[in-house]
Order: sequence, then C-alpha cells, then structure tokens
Amino acid sequence: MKALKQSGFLLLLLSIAFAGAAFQTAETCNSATLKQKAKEALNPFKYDSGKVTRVLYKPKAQLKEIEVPVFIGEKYRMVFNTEALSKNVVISVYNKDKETKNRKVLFTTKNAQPGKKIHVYEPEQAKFKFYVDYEIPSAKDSTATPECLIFMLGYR
Amino acid sequence: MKLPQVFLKLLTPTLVLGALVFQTSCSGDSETASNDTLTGDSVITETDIEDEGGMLPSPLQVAAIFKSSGLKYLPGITSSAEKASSYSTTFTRAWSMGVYSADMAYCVLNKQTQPAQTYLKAVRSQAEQINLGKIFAQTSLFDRFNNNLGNEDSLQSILAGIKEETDAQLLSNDQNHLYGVIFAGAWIESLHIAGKVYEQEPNEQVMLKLFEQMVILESITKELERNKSKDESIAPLLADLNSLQDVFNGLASVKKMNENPDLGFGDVKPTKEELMMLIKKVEEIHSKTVTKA
Repeated sequence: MKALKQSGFLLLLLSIAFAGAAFQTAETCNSATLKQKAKEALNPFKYDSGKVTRVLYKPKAQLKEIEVPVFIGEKYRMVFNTEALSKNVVISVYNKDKETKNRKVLFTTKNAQPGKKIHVYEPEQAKFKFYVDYEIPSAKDSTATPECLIFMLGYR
Repeated sequence: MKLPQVFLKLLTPTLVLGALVFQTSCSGDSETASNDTLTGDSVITETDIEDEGGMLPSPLQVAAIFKSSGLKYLPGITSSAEKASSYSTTFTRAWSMGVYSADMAYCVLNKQTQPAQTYLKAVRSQAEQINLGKIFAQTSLFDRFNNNLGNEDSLQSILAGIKEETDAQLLSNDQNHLYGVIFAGAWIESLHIAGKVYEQEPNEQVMLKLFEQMVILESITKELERNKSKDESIAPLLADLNSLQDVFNGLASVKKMNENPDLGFGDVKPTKEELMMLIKKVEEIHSKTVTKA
C-alpha cells in the first residue's frame, strides 16, 4: 500500500516535470539571451526586423528561405546567432530566390571557422530584396525538440 | 481495489495535462514538418511558409528614409490619437497601432516631442488592447521615452526597441498574423504623410522615395496572404493593397522597368502624374481604413 502511494507520487512528479519540460521547449526559441547577443553584434546599426526560426532535424535535409526586402541605397547589417543549434546549419544570402537559376551567393557560412556562433554580413549594396537560406542537415532520427536560429537585420 | 483508483485519479489528469501541453508546445513545428516537400536533388523546399514568414522593415526606417529625402513636417496631416479608443476589433487595433507608430516616428524625427508623446500613449493603448501590453510592461520603454524627450538619438533607439519588443511579443503570443497588419497600417500612414507633404511642397527626392516604397508592397501582400484565414478583415485589406499594386504595375515607367530585366527602380523616373495616381490610391485605402473603427 505504501509502495503504491510512493509510486503514484513519483508518477505525479514525473508528469508535472513532463508538462514543465514542454513549456520549457516553447520558451527555448524565444530566448532573450540569444537575441541580446545578436543585438550586441548588430550595434551600431539600429534594429529593423528579426526572425526566430525553429529548426527540427529530420531524416532528410531541409532548406528554409526568408525573403528580406530592403530599400535601395540603405546600409544594412545581418546578424545570425547559431549558438542554440547542435548541428551545422549553413546560412547563405542570395540575390534571388531559390527558384531562380544562376542566382548569386553573396554570403555563406559554409567555410566559417568551426565553433563560430555569431555570423555577420553587411551587404555592399542594398537591392530591394535579399534571400536568406538555411540549409538544415539531415539527422538519422527526427528530433522532437526544436532548436532555434536567430536572425536580426539592422540599418543605419 | 481502492488504491489503484486513488492512483488513477492522481495519474490520469497529470498525464493528460502533460500530453496536452507537450502537444501544444510542438504543434507549430509539426505542421511545418508535414508540409515540406522534396525536390529533385534531395533538397527539401519549405512550402509551408506560415512559420517562416517574411521580414518587414520598421516604421522608423520608413520615416527616416522620407526624412532624409527632405520630407518636411506639416502639422495636422497625421491621424487623430483621440480616435484610439474607438477601435474595437483586434484587426483595427493592430492596424491603428501601426498607424500611430508611423505618426510617432514622423514626429520624433521632426523633433515634435509633444505629439510624439501622445502617439506613444496611443501605441501603448492599442498594444494593451490586443494582448501586446508586455511590450511596455516588461521594459522601461515608456518611461525611457518620456525621460529622453530632448534627445532624438535616444528616442530613435527607443522606437527601435519598441519594434523589437513588438516582434518578440507577436512570436511569443502566437500572434504573428498581426505582424503584416501592424506594418501595413504604418506603411500606408507613412505614404499618406509623404503624399500630403508632396502635394503641398513637391520635392523630387520625396517623389522618388515614395515610388521606391512600392518595392515593399509585394512583401506586405505576401505576409497578409499567408495569414488571411486568421482574421476575416485581412482579405479586404489585401484586396485594397493588390489594387494599389495593379495601379503601380500599370504605370508606364513601371511597365518599362518590367520589360527590361536590366532596369531597376533607380533607373526609371516616374512622372508627377504617375505619382499622383499612386497617391490617390493610397489616400483611398487610408480613408477607408480610417473610417473602419
């Protein structure tokens, strides 16, 4: 009888922990610390817009693309914080979208220094739109917990 | 037999709670995953763009671009902050939050601190009404604004902070469908201001910047298109913005640009008549949304 009560209590605790972990997962991708680090790298540019991309690894590789409209002649800085990623997600900036043949890669982290978590790119000339691609590698097993990649755009 | 019943009474609700919470936390990502499609070279193309969305600039940047082109301050052309309390739906509150953000930026950049303060209050009030009150509640942005009235650089930093907090809260509250609505409100208000100033004081640089703003239109309509099922008021706005796009695409200088892939916005110059057609359409949308409260 006592053993059953203890087991019940243990399961209750486990269930509460399970629910708590789920809340934690939702919060992981909205980390103020990750954003703060990106914002520091944005300085002295002013915050213009930002995007938190949730990354789930799957058995097949993925490509996610973000369209970034900009104004002609303005100066911009792009900052990516990959600190919360466990795998090497390649970030590239293009002049055209993924459907366009012969598009030009303007920036890529493909050959970035291993361990580098903050990536910064300042386009030489703003031309109305940039396309930021995330190449997410495959994983043997799909992950249940999303990781996140922070992108901030600044102007001055 | 009693003990297992006690045990079950304790266990069942907690497991159900845990499972429900876990499912809620992960549902957004699962939806994205299910909509991915495979293309020929083993690259998966993201077709469900609901999670990714696009990026839209800050109202402050739009106002700063107009300001640097020589746009002057004219009193009386911004929207009435007194009307803030009359907006009654989430859509109109989000829209007017954008409108007042643009008015606030215009005032800050022109050192009009008193109306800027009034618009800040209006922005805060609209934000609170649509569950975005944390933008100001969690930070000292409101107090910092009032304490830095004489310092334009600080005020601009604070406005950038408001935009950053707005983006964060929209994501955190799962209200990203309002992102495009808020920006559309700010953008139409900025164009309305630029158009009004241009009508009274024609300036070629302002004209060119107004024309260049049209590059953002497609990004706004894409953002609204993604989210039109989440609020029935988005579709009529989308239709209005699509008709603005049609007016723009019908301009002779734009047709010339579209026919030649080597030409960009900087290579063509709209005529005054073309610009007035755009301004007229913007005014049509502006007046329609202003009376929507």
